[in-house]
Amino acid sequence: MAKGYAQQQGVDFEEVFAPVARIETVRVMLALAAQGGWQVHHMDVKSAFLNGDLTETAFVKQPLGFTIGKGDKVLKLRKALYGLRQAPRAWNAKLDKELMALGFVKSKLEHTVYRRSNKRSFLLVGVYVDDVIISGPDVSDIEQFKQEMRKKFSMSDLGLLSYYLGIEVRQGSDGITLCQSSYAMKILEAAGMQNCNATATPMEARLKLSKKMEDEVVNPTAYRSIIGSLRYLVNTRPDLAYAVGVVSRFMEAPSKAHWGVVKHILRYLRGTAGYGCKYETNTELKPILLGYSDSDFAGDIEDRKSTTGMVYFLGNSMVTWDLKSRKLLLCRPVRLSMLQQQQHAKVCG
Amino acid sequence: MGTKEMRVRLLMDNMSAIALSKNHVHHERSKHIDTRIHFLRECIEDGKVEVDHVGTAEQLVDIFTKALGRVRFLELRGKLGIVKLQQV
Repeated sequence: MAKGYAQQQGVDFEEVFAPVARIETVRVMLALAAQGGWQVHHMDVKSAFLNGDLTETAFVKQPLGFTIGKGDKVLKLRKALYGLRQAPRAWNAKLDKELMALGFVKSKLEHTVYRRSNKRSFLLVGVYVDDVIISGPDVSDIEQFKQEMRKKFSMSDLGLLSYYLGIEVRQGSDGITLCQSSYAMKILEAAGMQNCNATATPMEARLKLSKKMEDEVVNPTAYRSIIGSLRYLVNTRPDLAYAVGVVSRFMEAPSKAHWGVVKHILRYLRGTAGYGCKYETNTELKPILLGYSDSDFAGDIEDRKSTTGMVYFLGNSMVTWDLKSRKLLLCRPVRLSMLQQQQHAKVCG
Repeated sequence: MGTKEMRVRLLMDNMSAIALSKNHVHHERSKHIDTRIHFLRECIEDGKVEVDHVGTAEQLVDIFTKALGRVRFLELRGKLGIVKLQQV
């Protein structure tokens, strides 16, 4: 481990940013693959950061046991080490260079997706630091790419993608499913609610909550921790999105009433822990984006802010969604809808 | 992925908003809508986005903006493709 904390910006390193695939990007890739009936493979680069070439000059003390001479000399680094501030960036630059050399084109809008297409083959590659997911209509192309990568880096081949960022992926002849059932069970256990009675919906219909509930205050840390876990679960469970969004607004000073709503969500989760998103194979359907949007026109009883929701389908797979409490106070619904459309236009941009 | 840019269809249930986004009419009641709307109109003119109406019954986003009753909730959940995958 290099002592990255001793590095000074401008002296030992310049830029540190490295792009990372967003979860939406992964979903879009999986949806495309599911629709076309393609296989999705997963590879991992061993000790990825050691591959990065350094552009800056950095020195390290000689490590114990590997000293040469009196030990009063330092080593000049040619390649990155774990712990260096610029290590992730150097690795990403290296991978980018190698993929370009293999004939890949980087997506302009998402710098972690690469595409290689010619008359005979089509291949998509998504990069999450050292995880590489590969998909394409022809399995032999995928295998060929794996061979090419093995020549460049020391790789471990994880075969068909089955587990990614805590999401369980299953690939079958009828499509791809995403679920986080074991994570859901962990949340329930942490809250001590694995044996509760299940409910059919995550939230009571037309329930309105207020910040100032004249009620006992509950432990904010425990409340925030549960909400944090639930928010990650929403990645494959958009049906929870609204309820989780609502309870998230009271993280500052949660009261017993708010805790009750969280419990309601957990009870719903108890009955639906095995649920997840399904992307179906449908080779006839064109992968076209279709969006829906709506707003609840000043639904917050306290600040009269509106909640805008949107969802996008790629073919028949739901790939992205969002809901937001709007910052602007709006007197007319029409104006809000205009804003929504604008936001959507940006997404599609 | 970059092969050809596709037009994105966007469905909403507010007719007035749709009308305003398509027509350059200037009305006293829409004066307060600021310059940002022009960005959207441009997108529509360029054919990047196509705005269309969807009936309230077909509005799938309801699940993200309100706390629904059981029947409607289960219906929308199914339409979004969230299904039971395994027994837990």
